[in-house]
Amino acid sequence: SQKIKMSNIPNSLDSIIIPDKKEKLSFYQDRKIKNCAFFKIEREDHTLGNIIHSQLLKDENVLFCGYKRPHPLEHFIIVKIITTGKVLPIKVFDSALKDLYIEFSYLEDIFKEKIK
Amino acid sequence: MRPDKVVWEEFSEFQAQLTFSGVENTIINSLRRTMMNEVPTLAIDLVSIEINTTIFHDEFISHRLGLIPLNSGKVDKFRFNRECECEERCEACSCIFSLDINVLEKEKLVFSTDLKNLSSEENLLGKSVVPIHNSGSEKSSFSEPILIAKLRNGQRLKLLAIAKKGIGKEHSKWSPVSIIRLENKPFFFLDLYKLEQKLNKKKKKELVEILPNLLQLDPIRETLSYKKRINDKDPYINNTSFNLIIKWLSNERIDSEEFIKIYSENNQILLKIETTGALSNKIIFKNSIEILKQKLNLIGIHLEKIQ
Repeated sequence: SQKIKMSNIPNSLDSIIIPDKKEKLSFYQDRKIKNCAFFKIEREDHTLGNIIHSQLLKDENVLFCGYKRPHPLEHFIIVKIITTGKVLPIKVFDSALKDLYIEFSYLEDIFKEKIK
Repeated sequence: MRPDKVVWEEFSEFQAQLTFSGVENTIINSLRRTMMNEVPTLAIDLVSIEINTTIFHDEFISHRLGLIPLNSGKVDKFRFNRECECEERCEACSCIFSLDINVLEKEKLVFSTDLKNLSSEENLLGKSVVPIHNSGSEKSSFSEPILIAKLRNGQRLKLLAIAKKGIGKEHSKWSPVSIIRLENKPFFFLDLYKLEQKLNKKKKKELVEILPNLLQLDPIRETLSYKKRINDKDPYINNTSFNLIIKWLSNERIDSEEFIKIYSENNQILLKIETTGALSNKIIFKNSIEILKQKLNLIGIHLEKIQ
């Protein structure tokens, strides 16, 4: 869109829209440490990062879990997971997302009952 | 995993409170962040000014117009302007207002009621987008709409304003929430045994008169004690009684910190929401859960592609 801007202000839509070249979710397996994976999620911040991280810590197969937003002007988070080896990091991540989805569905159901 | 209890209370048209028991504070914090930043609403985004001979410069008035909350009940049916198939704007992605003021009297105040909705009569979607004129509390006896500018005799203001859909992350004018607070539920404790050593019989009677439902005075031994609670789970002291105790203690010049302790009730979290009026509190909360679920779903889909 044609907006007249001052030179230094970043585009406000930068924090929302993913440019064409980048993927929403990318995955990198660490070469030196066993069962260690990094997940880079574009255009997400602490809203998702904190709940994914806290849900992963509840899993008994997870040895290490941490997330960070490396720089406030760059809009992505990195989640690092190390598992015991019984389960792959991808599976653990997948089950954490599903558990969170179920928990929010419970909240939604309880809330809809309360409104009635 | 399943929350123990969720209580919804509405204090007024614009204020509501949720009490969660058995839900982690990380989840409630994410809901709070979503309610503030990611729930879409409508707000004025593009202003083309034809005549402006007021003392305010163009950007000043445009900024104020952008911050006016618009009724976004039907925002789900609008499309984002960047995703719309039209060239610049159309009825499906935006809504147009006009403001035309020519001051003939000595002084004129321009309110949000002077904004005219230019959508055609058949366009029910656009017609529903009206500025929220009154976001006051029940205490204000008269409600005044939002003041945009003050003009003097001879000054003119003529402009067209286009409202679009957006989220709070892009600019906080699109945030449907004005104040949102997250806190642990407080639990008040008054040390009666310590307090009554400082009071004589007359003062004790006064205290019991202020809080008849809470305290009682034993006439023989002249000691204060709590009345028997109806429901064992209810807290001893609620908010109103707590405020009365504090007021009375300050009137008597007694240091309240010695006798009152505040703890946080086990695992209970309060979420207090105040809306600007653009969306009702229930819709904001419902939409925030949906948006978070959509986000999680999207990442799950991308994860399956990688596997």
